Amino acid sequence: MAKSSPRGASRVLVALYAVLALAATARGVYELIVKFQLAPLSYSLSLVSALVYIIATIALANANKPGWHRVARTTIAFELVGVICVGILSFSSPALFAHPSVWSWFGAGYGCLPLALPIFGLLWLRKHQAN
Amino acid sequence: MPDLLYQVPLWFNLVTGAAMLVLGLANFKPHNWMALSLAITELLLLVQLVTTIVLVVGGQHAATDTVEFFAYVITALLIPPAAVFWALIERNSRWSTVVLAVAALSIAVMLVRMHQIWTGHFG
Repeated sequence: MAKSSPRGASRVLVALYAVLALAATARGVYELIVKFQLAPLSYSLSLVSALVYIIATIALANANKPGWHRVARTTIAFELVGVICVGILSFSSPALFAHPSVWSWFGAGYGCLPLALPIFGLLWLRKHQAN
Repeated sequence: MPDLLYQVPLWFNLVTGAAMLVLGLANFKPHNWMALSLAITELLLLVQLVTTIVLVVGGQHAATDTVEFFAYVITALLIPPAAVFWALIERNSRWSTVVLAVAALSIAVMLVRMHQIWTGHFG
């Protein structure tokens, strides 16, 4: 068996976060330039989620350092709360999210990764405390 | 977006992505052919970019939104270099193989979106 360091598996988490960061940033910038005035709430949320993913990616990549570990925990917890709130609101008040954001319908447009990743992220951070 | 430039890169990335995922989870470190497969993907995406620019200049446009289409093509172009760069830095980790798989499979998903945006068919 190849040696698999405890940090190893987090590489996949970082890669998935990087993909989401890229996807959300590209989408957010596109929406901001092309159609922001159509749905400021949804498109602001896309930009917020993009920012959260960028910070979470960097923080997770450095999660062995105590400071970054805390940053990762905070941003990922914020992300989880965000995706749950926006997810519930997009079902209960669809008018509010007539223009979808990244987190609408619990991130269904992204294979529900936005809902699954923070859960795995928080579990991983819990298991691997910074030293 | 010619159908050929949808089907070929899509299936290429699905097959190589699945292979790299299985190999990575089975403890295989990155191998040269994996970097090569992502280089081929990058090349196909560049061909896609040039071809669709020619089509748009010639008067065609994406059914949904041409700007969004190109946003996807350009974003997809960023992924292979980043993934290969990562695999070169951590070439002794099997997780780099999984990271390459994530890159290939992400591009497959993005190709589906490009096709939807170009054709307007969301089925």
